[in-house]
Amino acid sequence: MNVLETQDLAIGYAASRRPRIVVAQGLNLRLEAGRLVCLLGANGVGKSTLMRTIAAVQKPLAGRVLLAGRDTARLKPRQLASYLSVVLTERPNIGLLNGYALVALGRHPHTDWTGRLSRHDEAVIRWAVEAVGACDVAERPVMELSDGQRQKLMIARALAQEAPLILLDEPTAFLDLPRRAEIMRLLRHLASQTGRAILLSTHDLDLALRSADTLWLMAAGQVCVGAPEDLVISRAFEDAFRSEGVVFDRTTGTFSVQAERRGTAVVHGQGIVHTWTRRALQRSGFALLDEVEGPERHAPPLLHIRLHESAERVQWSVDWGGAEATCSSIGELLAALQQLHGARAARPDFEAAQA
Amino acid sequence: MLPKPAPISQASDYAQDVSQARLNLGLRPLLLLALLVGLVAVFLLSLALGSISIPLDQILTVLLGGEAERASWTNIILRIRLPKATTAALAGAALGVSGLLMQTFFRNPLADPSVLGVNAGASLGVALVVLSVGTVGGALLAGFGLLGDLLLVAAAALGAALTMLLVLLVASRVQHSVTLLILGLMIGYLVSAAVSLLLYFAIPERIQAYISWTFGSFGGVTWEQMPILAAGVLLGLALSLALTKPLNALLLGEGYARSLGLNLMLVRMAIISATALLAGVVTAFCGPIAFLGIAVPHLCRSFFGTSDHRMLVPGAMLMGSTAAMLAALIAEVPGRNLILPLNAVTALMGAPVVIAIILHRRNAAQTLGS
Repeated sequence: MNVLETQDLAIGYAASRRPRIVVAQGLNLRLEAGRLVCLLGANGVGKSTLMRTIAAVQKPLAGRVLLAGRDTARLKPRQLASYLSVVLTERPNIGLLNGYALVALGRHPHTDWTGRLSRHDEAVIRWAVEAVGACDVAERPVMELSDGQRQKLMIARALAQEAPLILLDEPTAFLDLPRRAEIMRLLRHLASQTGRAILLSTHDLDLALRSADTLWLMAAGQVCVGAPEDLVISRAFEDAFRSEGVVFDRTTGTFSVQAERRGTAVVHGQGIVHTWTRRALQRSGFALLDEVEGPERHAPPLLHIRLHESAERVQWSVDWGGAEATCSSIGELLAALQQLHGARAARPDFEAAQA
Repeated sequence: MLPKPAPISQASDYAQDVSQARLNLGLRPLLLLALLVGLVAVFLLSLALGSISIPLDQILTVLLGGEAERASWTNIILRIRLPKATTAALAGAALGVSGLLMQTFFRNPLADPSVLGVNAGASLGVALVVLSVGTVGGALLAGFGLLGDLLLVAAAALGAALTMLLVLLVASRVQHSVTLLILGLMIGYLVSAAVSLLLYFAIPERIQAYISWTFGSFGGVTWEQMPILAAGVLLGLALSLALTKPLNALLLGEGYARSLGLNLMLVRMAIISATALLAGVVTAFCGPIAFLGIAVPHLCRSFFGTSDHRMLVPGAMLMGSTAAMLAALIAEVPGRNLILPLNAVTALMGAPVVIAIILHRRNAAQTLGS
């Protein structure tokens, strides 16, 4: 049985005396045990609304959310807590509690009204702290810990709740790059080792591409589901993030910031130098031929760059509509292109050539 | 409320024993015992000291049902000092705990029972009685005697209860506790404004009677009234003890608390009811007592070094009682025939403590656990 399933779910906001705002509808999503799913989408597309609706913080406009086959609308808060644990974006300052006490709060749905921890509860707490690798910091007051350490403890807290589904809302938002990678690796590990289904929303596209079993791509009121690579190949990935000034390079799987368009380029060659030359060209405003479609594809003149690699050195030879140059580094190459571009822009036939 | 000590494991696994200590409260329950000893000592002191001093052995004799060497001592202890100390103990526990509830609930280190407007409501009730009775029937109130006192208590209780109902009504329609905090403060301002208007149009002698009520006093509660005060306070304290688990969950914020299976609306109503009951009944009998509600929770967190409410709730009771009795004792100015306004003493005691804590801990909000 699926840990999470949505049936014809419509999400959005309904307030009295105001028109309903539908963020997305007709969502039929499924999440199985042991899977790590990343929910991606541009800002404002409705990721948080979907997460909040799944967590039953917000009511669906239509359709149902099923946790292990049970409709969340009919679950009492305490029952819900046994199916679903969360890690939120807010970073609560929990004051003078140490890590173990923080993780112990995850046992809340399992303890009696006094909150007394049984031996089983204690064993689960220790297991959860070990599982996230936070044994060394769990005895210190939480307010002394770094963001990364605290985030691990919040994940341990969610684990200790022993719910089959863990929702994480941008768990890597406040962390530096190594810490982000560490948290994602941890979540991958937890999904496969503990059999939890993990759904996280993130803006970290690169890490999501590399870590997730499945992506939920949210765009234009729809959620597109698939393996990360399939979504890249089918262009669904770049479509979801198509926006002014950002280009997704399907060959290298990276986003780049687009400068003012200067022309279309082809890089002949392969290997590391090839990859980084492409990135340099994208950075300085050239579209790459294999990324361009339509009439722009044949807009003259095409910039040809050929790589000549030998044991000692690399050379870049440039041919741009007759103008030629040879460079020995990418820095030189970019400077040469800058010069050529300036010279072309000064020529009277430049406007015609551009058109 | 406190977890049973974990049984020592047969295998005597070292690592396991260490973990047990980490997960439980450690030696902190011993601190509660220390507080209890302090409480008893201050209780006995407040029976012994006053305008005249009474030896300790005489006090114990009287407490155990005997007669003191001098008949006047028996009278002083049983008629004056014992009810006063008991009132202070009950009121202090109530104010300390209700302050703790408000600070955790609103996640705000400056919150105290008065933020719900309960004090202001009680003040309005008292002002209405004192000032309007004055304008209608001259010295009518003075003629009431005991009845007049009861009338004041009833008016204060009614004012507090009505304000509480208003806040509860608002609370059931509001999503966030911060909104509730602001609304509570606004209701407090409104009610205070009404009191100001009443004062403005009242005759001076009546104003004097109202002002002396606002000074606060633990001395006005008679043995006949004590059961009402005690019942209200004990009920509120019992409710607070039952709320330790949800209070701990609220340390994480309302979003996490809900995800842990907490019925937020129910818990919110329970916390507000407990606070309003505790603060309302104390204000009705003792007047608006300032500072204990805000200072005692901060003292407690520093003393126990934790935000765990399993320690803080009983701790705030004991520490609040002790602080209130100490304040009453200082207000008496032992050895002199002089009684200072209680509120001046609590503020003089409380303000430096709060300042010291805030300067000592870089950030009071951090120790708050919110």
